[in-house]
Amino acid sequence: MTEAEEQPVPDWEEVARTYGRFLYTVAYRLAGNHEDAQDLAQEVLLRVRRGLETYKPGSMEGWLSRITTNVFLDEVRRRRRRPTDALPDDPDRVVPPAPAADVALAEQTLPEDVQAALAALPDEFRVAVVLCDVAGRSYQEISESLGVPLGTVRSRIHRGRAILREQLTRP
Amino acid sequence: MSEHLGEALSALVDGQLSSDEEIAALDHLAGCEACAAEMAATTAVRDLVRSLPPVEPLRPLVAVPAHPQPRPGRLAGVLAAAAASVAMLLLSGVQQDAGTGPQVAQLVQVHTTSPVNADPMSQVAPAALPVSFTR
Repeated sequence: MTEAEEQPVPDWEEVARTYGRFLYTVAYRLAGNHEDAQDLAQEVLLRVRRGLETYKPGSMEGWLSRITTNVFLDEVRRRRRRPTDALPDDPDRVVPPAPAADVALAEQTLPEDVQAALAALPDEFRVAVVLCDVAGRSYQEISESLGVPLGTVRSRIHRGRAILREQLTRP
Repeated sequence: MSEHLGEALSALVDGQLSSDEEIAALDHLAGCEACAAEMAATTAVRDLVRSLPPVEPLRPLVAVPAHPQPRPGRLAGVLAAAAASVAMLLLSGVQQDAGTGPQVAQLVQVHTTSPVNADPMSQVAPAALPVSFTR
């Protein structure tokens, strides 16, 4: 397709057929369990079906990632009761440095361990890491999806990885 | 020597620094063992997450609300219907008997101001309440 202006909103069944696995994988890595992932993925398809999300031509995976993230964060905010649960975005609250013995990390780490560490991340860090490393989005796209500055994306991804590293190297 | 790379390390391993930043970062990296070690560790974690396998849904994906209203079971439905009929009966009874029976406020007033051994409720209450049930 050459014209970038008018592109119809994709049919949800087609989206589910072609991108179902991608969508579900992102949803699962965000939500951390099948039940919530199913709810999340289906809510995304529902929004696609109802035409609630403006489709900007470009990457379908980027579009789905953005919707999935928004649905997920809406749900997180809905469930979050106390404001003290909010993200520690204060730069003074630095993540403690991980022990230095983790270059051999990759050799012995199981996917289940990585998933568990991912699930333990604060939501906003997990969202940034999942968008980057699972959904394959650029920092610019993540910044636009989340409505936060590029520097915040950088920070969240790096700090998210630092926490993961600490979790995964803990004896 | 320039500042350590810190949070720019992830952006560096992801190829997400601007070209100027990248040149400066690589320049620093060449002379800083600490940052080189950090970069290796960051890359290792990044690769672990990247290599997580795709996940298949347990059930086919459909476009439905994430939080459907809980559907009442058959018994709950029957009970709800029964309760609704009773409420309708009561409501219609109250309306029809409004002219003949004593008003609630009046009953309460009589009841609360009477001595216990001369409670007039036993006389007035039946005229107002059960009649509507038997119609």
